[in-house]
Amino acid sequence: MKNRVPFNRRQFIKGVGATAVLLQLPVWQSCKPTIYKGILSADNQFVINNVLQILFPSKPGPDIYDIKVEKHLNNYLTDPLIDPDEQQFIINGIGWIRETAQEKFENDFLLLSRKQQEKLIKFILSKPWGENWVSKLLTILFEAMLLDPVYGINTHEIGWRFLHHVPGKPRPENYNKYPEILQRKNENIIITDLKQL
Amino acid sequence: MKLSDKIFDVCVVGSGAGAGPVIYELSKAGYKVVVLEKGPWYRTKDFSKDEMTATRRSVYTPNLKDEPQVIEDLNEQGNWEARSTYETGRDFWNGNCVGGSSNFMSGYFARFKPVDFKLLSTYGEIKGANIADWPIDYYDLEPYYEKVERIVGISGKVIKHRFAEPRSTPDFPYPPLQENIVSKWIDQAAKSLGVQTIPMPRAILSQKKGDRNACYYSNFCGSYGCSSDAKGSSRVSLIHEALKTGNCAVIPNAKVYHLETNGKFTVKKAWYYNAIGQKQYIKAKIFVVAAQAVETSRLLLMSKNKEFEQGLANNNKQVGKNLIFSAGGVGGGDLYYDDLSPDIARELARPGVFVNRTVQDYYELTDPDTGKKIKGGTVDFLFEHANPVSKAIRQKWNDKGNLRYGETLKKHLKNYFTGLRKLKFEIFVDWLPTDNCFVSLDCNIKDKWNDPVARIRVGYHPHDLKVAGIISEKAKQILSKIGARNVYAGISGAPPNNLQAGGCRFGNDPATSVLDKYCKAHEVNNLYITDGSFMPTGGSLTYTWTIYANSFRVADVIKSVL
Ligand SMILES: Cc1cc2nc3c(=O)[nH]c(=O)nc-3n(C[C@H](O)[C@H](O)[C@H](O)COP(=O)(O)OP(=O)(O)OC[C@H]3O[C@@H](n4cnc5c(N)ncnc54)[C@H](O)[C@@H]3O)c2cc1C
Ligand code: SF4
Repeated sequence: MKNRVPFNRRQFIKGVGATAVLLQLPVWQSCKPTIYKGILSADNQFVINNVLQILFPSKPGPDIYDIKVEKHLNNYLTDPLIDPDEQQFIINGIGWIRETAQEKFENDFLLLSRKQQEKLIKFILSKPWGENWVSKLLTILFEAMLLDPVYGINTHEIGWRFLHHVPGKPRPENYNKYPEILQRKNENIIITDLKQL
Repeated sequence: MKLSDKIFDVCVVGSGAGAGPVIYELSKAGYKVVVLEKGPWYRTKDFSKDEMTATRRSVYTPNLKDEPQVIEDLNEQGNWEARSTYETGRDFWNGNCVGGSSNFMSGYFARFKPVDFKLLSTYGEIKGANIADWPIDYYDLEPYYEKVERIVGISGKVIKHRFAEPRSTPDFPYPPLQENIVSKWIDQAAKSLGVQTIPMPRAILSQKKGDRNACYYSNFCGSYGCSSDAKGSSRVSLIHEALKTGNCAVIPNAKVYHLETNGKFTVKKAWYYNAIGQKQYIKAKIFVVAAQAVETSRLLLMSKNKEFEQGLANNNKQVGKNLIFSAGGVGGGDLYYDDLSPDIARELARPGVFVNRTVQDYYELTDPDTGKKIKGGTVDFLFEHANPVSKAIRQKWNDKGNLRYGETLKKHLKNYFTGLRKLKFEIFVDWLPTDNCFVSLDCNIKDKWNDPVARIRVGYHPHDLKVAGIISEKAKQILSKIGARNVYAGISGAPPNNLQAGGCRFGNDPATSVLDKYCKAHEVNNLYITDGSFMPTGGSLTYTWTIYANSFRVADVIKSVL
């Protein structure tokens, strides 16, 4: 039923000679980003915003700020039900792109020109980890653009309007959106009457 | 009185399509029924058209980290390779909540045809396939197909055609649902090719029925719970009615892990974990399992007892064998609004109303290699699902397999979402049962309760691809005739996770079947299985109407023995 694109845990490995998942073997320790209470550090947020802008420029249609992708990314990274390896992969990718920036341009990603950043993205797309990472970021962008604004994203339905998408009714409300709806999984009850529902 | 002190007449494991009719019939007949359902109770008002809860996160299904399964597939070297679904994200769960997957089905309903009960005697053996005739025939099930039409509620229109099933009533109790303009185009295109189209029956109410409202064409049906109760889920069409009798108790968040026998081939207790992880049990005179094919076999295999060392009802080592799926391939084509006048384009873009067209002219085919008659299959036409995130995700990659991004991506999305509507088709062939499609227990991987998870080998027979290939060519012709562009088809032996059957086939011989013709386990005095597990072969259609009908049939059997 779920049409999440299948992934493969092996894709979470950078694969440049390293055979262990980076979570366990932090080879790129120097610029391995850290999460502060689930929120990215300012410079890593800056890096990822730059990448997202290249993947999803301001024209045509909404830009990354209209769809509040930063908020969605933070929700994603702190969602207890998203697989921690998937979350860490997003974080690791930031480290890897900064690492690659050093290798290719001898400079921190933060200091590259937009043209250089674009070149770098083109370059990482030729690497399995880069392609997977960008693919995941695109999914996060699509979610921010096309899920219900009840999640604090897709502001004023701007993504839906851009693609002429007509949402189905009823729309989710606070009590039945994710993750609130998961509460029902903890109910220890016996139902013997319809009135109980 | 404590729940565990009570002896119920019937304890039902699961509450989906296979369970609902038994729960409904026995409660109505005055028997005391208890239902143990692994998932929570989502009420109608809990459902919304929220893609996040419906498909983007594991809300209606378990988190794969907590409850993985293991899929065994052939790798490139031709060896079976087992991988956890937690590793691959390839999810085989469908709907774990009261009503099961029937809450989320699209409700494309089709009766099996007389020939589907006699595949072996009609077309003969196929090497490498374990085909068997059913121990009952179409006429044993016909009254129950009719009952499903009335009680669950099926809308449609009967028309005469070569493979039409015999019926005891002239037409459906509910008229067909509204259709998109494209349905007419399919009819015309097919007619010009000498092919007959049939309106697809749906387990969706086109008119109000009791407490349930008619369909309001929400445009988000498959994968979504229904907010009008028009969809014939087991929850609203059967369990709600059962609760009204006062004879039925449903325990949600109750995961059954063991069926205990008394040393005399009789089940006495169903052991389950409740919502807070405590081990509990229920006693009953009769036990009915309907946990969907894979999990039903798993539960039996896990229920090792003194007299069943290899798992309940498995002394003949048949449990889990001959798992089948309903599949064959998919295809589609793009209908561009620019090719049409603005008025017609608007009609085509109209959301909500259905396509509801199927072709069954290919139910029997001639084998191009041998010239012999072989079993064919069905094609049904439908629009691409309106889920926007999933739709966008499918547009990530260009024809060369490279990721789109930047302005190119945004322009492409704009054109795709606003410039065309994709018309798809699905092919259903008889998925031949083989020794390479079965359920066992994984030796290493455990779920969050520390129980072994199901290991599912998903091999298929090459004959399935041959049949699907022939049918897909014909379906493509219809799409091209309509004027669709980019017409394609993908034939595949990949099993769809949501259409599962087999694993505990019924038959007259205990050496080759788990259940007798009444779906009682040969080896156990009081155990019945009423989901799709009983099917030795699965027709060339979706299964759920047949699951519902058979469960009504077994309910009558249980009434007669209680
Ligand atoms: C998105 C989607 C679309 C579909 N569309 C169609 C369609 O168009 N046409 C069609 O014919 N079919 C369709 N189906 C398939 C249809 O839903 C199933 O065939 C049908 O529901 C199967 O009935 P079942 O009783 O075997 O399983 P389910 O309805 O899934 O019920 C099984 C129940 O058992 C519970 N369970 C499992 N293990 C345990 C345990 N150990 N203890 C207690 N409870 C347990 C589960 O939580 C579940 O509620 C669709 C399914 C999905 C998901
Ligand atoms: S209202 Fe109609 S289209 Fe929507 S979920 Fe219910 S049955 Fe399906």
